[in-house]
Amino acid sequence: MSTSLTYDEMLERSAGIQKRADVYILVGGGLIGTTVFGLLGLPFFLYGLWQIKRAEDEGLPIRPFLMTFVGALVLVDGFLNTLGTMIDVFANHSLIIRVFEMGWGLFVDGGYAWQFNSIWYGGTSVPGEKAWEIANVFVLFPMRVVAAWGFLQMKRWGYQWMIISSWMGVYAWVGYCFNMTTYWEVRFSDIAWPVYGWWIYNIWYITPFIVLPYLYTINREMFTDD
Amino acid sequence: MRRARSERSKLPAESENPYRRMHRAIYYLVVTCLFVQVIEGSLIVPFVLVYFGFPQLSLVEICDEMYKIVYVDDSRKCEYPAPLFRYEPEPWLAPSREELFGPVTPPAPGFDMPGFREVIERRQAREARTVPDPS
Repeated sequence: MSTSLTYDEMLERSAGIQKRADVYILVGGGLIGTTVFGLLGLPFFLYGLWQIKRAEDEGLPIRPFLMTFVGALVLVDGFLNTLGTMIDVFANHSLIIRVFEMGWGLFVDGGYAWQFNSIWYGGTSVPGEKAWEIANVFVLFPMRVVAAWGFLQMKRWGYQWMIISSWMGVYAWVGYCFNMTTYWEVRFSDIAWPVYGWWIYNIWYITPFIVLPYLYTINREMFTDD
Repeated sequence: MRRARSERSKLPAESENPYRRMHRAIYYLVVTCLFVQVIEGSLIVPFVLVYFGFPQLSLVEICDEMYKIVYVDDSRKCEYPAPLFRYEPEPWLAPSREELFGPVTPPAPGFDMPGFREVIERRQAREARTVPDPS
C-alpha cells in the first residue's frame, strides 16, 4: 500500500497519523490522570498507541517506539501526579474524592486518612505533605506534562525540559520519601498494606531515574529547534 | 520496510546505536511502568469503591462509614453535600480527636527570645549565679 505513495506523501501521512495519535494519547493520559475518570481515558490512550503501531506496520516513517513510550510514560506520570495531588488541594470536600482519598489512605498511606480534612486547608493533615503537594502541583508536574508533550512533538525545548524536569523529579523523590518516612508512625501504622504496599503502588512512578539515562544517550539533533 | 530493516542490521557495528543494550533495558522498564501506571490510574477508584462496598452501599454511605473508621468515632458523619460557601470549616463541626491522635498542628515552642546581644548579659548573670564557693 505504501509503495503507491511518493516520499512526500508518505511523510505527510505519517505526520498526520502521528499528530492524531498524540492527541489521543494526551486526552487519554489526561483522563487517566484524573483517576476518577481513569476508565474513560483508557480506550483513548490505547487507541493512540494502537494508531502508532498500525502506522509502523504500514511501513510509514514514524518516531521510534521507545521515544513514544518514554513521552507517554512521562505524560501519564505527570498527569497522574498533577491531578491526583490537585484533587487533594482543591477538591478535598467532593464526595468521590473524600471516598477515594481516605480509601487509598487506609490501604497504603495513612497520611491520607489520618485526621483527614482536619486542618483549615482541608485534605491531608500529615506534616509536610501539603508543602510537597503545592510544590509539585504548581511547579514540577505541570512542567513535566508540557515537557513530555514537547518531547513527543520532537521539539528541542521538549527534550531539554524533559532533562530539567527529570532532575527535579529526582529531587522531589528524595525529599518526599524522607519527609514521608520521618512521619511514618502516622502514615504506616494500622493500615491495610503499610510500607511494602506503598512501594508496590508507587515504585512505578520512578520515571526520572529510568528516563534520564535514555535522554543522555540519544542524538539531540533529532529534535527540531523551533 | 521489512527489507530495509534487515539491510540496516547488516551495517558495520560502529554505525549502530552504541547504547542498544541499555535502550533495550530502558524499553522494558518504561513499558512496564507505563502499563502499571495506566492500570493503576484507571482502576484505583473502582477498586476503592468495590472494596468498601459499592454498589450495595451508596457513595454517601461509604463516605459516612469511612469517617467513622478514620476518626475512630461512631458518631462522626460524612457531611454531604459539603457546602461551597457557608463556610464553617469542617474541623469545627465535630469535637477534636486530638486526645486520641495527637495534635494536628504542632504546639508553639514558647521560646524566651533574647534581644540584640542580650545573650552576653544572660551569660554573665548565669555565671554570677553559679560562682563556686571560694572556701
